[in-house]
Amino acid sequence: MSLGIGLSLGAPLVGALVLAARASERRPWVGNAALGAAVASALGIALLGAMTGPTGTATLRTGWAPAVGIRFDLRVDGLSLVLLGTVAAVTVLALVYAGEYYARRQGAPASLYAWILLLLAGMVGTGLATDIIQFYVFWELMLVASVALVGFWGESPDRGRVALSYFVYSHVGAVLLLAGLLGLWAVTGSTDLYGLAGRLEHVAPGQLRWLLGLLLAGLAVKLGLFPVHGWLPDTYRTAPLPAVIAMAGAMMGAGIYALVRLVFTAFPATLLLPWAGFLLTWAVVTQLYGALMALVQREVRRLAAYSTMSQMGYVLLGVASVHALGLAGSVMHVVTHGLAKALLFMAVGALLVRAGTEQLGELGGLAARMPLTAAATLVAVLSLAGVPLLAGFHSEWLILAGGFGSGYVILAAAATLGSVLTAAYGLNLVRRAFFGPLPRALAEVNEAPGAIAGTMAVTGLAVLLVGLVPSPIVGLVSRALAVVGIGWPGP
Amino acid sequence: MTDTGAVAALARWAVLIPLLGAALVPLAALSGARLRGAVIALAAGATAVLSLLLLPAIRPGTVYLGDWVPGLVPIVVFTDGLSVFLALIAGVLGAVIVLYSAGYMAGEADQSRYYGFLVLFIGGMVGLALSANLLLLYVFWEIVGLCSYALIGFAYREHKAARAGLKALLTTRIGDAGLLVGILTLYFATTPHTFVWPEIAGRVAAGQVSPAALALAGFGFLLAAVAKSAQLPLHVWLPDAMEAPTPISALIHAATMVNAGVYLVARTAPVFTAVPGWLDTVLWVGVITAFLTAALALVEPDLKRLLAYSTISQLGFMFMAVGLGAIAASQLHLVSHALFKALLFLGAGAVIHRFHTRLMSEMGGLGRVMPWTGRTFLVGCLALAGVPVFNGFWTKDLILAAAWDQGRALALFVAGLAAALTAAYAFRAYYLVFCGEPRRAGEEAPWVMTVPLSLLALGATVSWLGTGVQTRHLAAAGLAHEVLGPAELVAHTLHSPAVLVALAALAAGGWAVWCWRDPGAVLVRVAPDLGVMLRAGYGFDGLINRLLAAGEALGLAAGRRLEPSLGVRLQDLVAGGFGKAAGGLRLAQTGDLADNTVSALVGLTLILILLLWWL
Repeated sequence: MSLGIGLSLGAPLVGALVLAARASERRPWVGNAALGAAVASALGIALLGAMTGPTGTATLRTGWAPAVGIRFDLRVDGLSLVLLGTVAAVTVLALVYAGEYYARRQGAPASLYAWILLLLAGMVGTGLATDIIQFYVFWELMLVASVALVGFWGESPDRGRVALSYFVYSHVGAVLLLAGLLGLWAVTGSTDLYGLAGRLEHVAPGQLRWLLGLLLAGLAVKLGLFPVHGWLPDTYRTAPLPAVIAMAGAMMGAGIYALVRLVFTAFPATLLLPWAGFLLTWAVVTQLYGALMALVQREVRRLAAYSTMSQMGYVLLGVASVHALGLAGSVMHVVTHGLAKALLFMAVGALLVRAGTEQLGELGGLAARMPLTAAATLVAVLSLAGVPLLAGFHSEWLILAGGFGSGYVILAAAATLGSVLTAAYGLNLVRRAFFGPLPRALAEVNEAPGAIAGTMAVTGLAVLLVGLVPSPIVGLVSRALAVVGIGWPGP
Repeated sequence: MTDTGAVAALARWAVLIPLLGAALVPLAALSGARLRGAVIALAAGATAVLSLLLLPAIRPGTVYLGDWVPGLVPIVVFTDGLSVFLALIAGVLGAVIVLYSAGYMAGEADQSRYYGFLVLFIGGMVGLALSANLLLLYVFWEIVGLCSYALIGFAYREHKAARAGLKALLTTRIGDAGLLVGILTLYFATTPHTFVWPEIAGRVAAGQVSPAALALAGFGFLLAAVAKSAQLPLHVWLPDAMEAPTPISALIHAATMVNAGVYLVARTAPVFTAVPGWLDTVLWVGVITAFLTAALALVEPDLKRLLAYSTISQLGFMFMAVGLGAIAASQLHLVSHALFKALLFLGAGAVIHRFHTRLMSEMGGLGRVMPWTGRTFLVGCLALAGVPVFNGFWTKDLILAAAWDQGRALALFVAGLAAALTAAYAFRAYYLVFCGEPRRAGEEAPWVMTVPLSLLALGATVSWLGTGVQTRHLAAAGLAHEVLGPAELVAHTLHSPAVLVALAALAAGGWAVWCWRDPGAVLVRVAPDLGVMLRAGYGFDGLINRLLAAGEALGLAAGRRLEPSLGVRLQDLVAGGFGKAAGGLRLAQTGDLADNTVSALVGLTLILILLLWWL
């Protein structure tokens, strides 16, 4: 038990330290060492999953600043297991991908890998945290690592400005979140994350409303909800591609986890229900606005960024429905959106490596030259659009079902119709990049190289597998929610 | 019990075999075209046999097969006549089309992609027909839409094909959203919640579902049906879908997938009859579509697009039948149309395959060059036009008779006009393609194409003899009032005055072609304004393009105006705010000793007061 937890969090931290010691080393062992640390972390998480089972929980107790009442216990339950599994899988894939991606540009320095491992540690720690302050520390680690990745290894000349902008945005959000967290401490007198639900029942609703507002505002920045999504397009356009895979595929999951853990399973439903109309409207606005903006983008990474914003609209829709099906859909979106969005960015990287551009106006006809990349992109966008047989279908219908279950039928219907826009921007991307005549400049383009193709194939098959056989993940999610006291409706 | 088990096994494998086959096609291709061919033939053949075996196993009601998502999505299938006949068409015609494709696609590139999606489609369509769980129906509904998208865009290197695929998927997706809205509304309106249609129907009958929820679901389903069956105003995707290889047009865009909408309204009509205006909407959508698109077919120069408009128009007749409550008539015409329209498309495909053009003006006189194709195409035209003895005559007449019986004079009149236009464009197509002096040399299509043509021509001639079986099963499921064997069908037809309308329409349409050869061209010459309007398809495409452009302009404007203020400017605001605050504080920092002393004293006093107050 403690081995699993120690491995999952310790391996990336130790790996990051080792790599940081040889910061400018560029030889291939660097990437392999980082991959080794991530795999060790993934094994630790797999161990946790196997040993605890999804209903049980596992806790590692240590003492840390006990004088001020802050403990350093680590814990997994079904909900965090969903996050940890996705985080580990996506990060391992991103690191495999990175080896090939950077092999074409004289390798990447150890420090880049160190920051990626710190990002991983931050995400794993966010999932393992049992304590409000501890949670915030890991949350910050995650933010700092991602800012560093954008600022130091961003792929555009204006990376410094973009990183600063990302930093300002995410820290305004983080400060709001911290205010909310400290508020929770103040009103409950405890920093225990897992005991929040029980304690918040006895707090006056007037105080809770303020805290709810602060937490939602802080998390809204993280999830890129309208209108605080301004950081998202530039950050995703600029961040080094392997890092974007981890950020879009895994870090967004941490945001979803926080939303569910801190707000929608902690605050009493009687308090949340009066907000549902407002939150659902907010969700639909985010979903539609993000999709509309994705539709008019001319660069694939910016398109994918707005797609992420739109998808987080779905997530808010699911949780704000305060309905078991919607919550289950949003939690499952950690997995399905994570896989699909990671796959989409992998394909973008393949385009960058082979075609040398991500401008839709310069692309075209590449299905003939890069069939695997074309198929991967198609699978990714169809999954995002919630097409059956792919993973995204299951989380999306659950989310929409939650919307209908909440009783706000008009909003739920608007979101359902909005999914047409999701299909529109995704398939338009596929059409413009991969269909039509092949431009002369791209006539000699080849399929994505070894590990890039390999990770795309693995991720694509995972999307298909989850789509075909959803019951293990749906079961995990439903049992995870049962642990936090949310009942699954029978048929 | 064993009977139920047998039906369950048949239904299960009729869906699973093609789905597995589709997955195996690209794998088998790795070890050569021969193995791939065997996999395709086995999958399609087995599905056809299984769907035929379902025929004697028909029984009213449903069978439970297991769970897809435990506790949430049970797999329940219909085993009644309505579903099995739709599955049968998909299974059998699917196999015929696979055979025909062996000739049509010979030597083409990317065959694994073609056959993979084709076989997946067959499985999806059988699944759609059989699913009694609405969520599974939605799943298959989407799968067939996806296959349609992939196969329309088969020649993805051409802009036209890629655009047409996208247009088809997005247009039908609007309907899919309506379907999902309906399904989820009904799910939550029933207690305990259910996705299984017969249970929903029961709970609606028990008064559980509020009229508002029922209306939302009813019109949501109708939107889905209108989009999938290409009814006005969501018909715009089907003519463009003719970019697909012709066997695909025959199977997906004429004989099977586009029927899904008719099936859906037929299946749900008994429940949604309770929604005010629902049945009338179905009726008038059908009647108006039937008439308006028949007029478009009359002036269309492209043979495949003519057939596409014809399909839309014929589906309109089926919607009309459902709207009149004549569900059996809609299903009988569905079978007739599937046969004769698949025949017409495959005939057109044989010609297009030989001469590499779709424009009828570049054909002409091909009856001498491809006699067998010409003869079978003529059978298709006769059935489409509603010439007595051929299947289309009997089943279309049933629909007109239903309108007569219900006293819907206006609907009958408009449908009669549509039938006249139908006869005119059907004969026009035959004349333009096959009559006159041959302008090109060539030879008859290969046997893999003429055998399916002959089978379908036979079907279009005699399928009406099987109406007894179909109506008996529909009656058993409570969806038909009477059993119409061939004798009853003839008697029914002759007793209804509507047959006069049908014959008058046929005569008018035939007479127009007899006199003018190409009545569409004459119409365009005589009334140029009308011609322009018809050639532009009443401007639906133009309207859609304007709407899309407006949406794009909105997005671009938001990107230009709103986005910068949410990105850079919002940060500048935050930074500027801190800057101003700092600037304000800076005024206090004079550096003067006296000021500092005063400030320190004020500060200390404040702290003292606070401490005292606190304690």
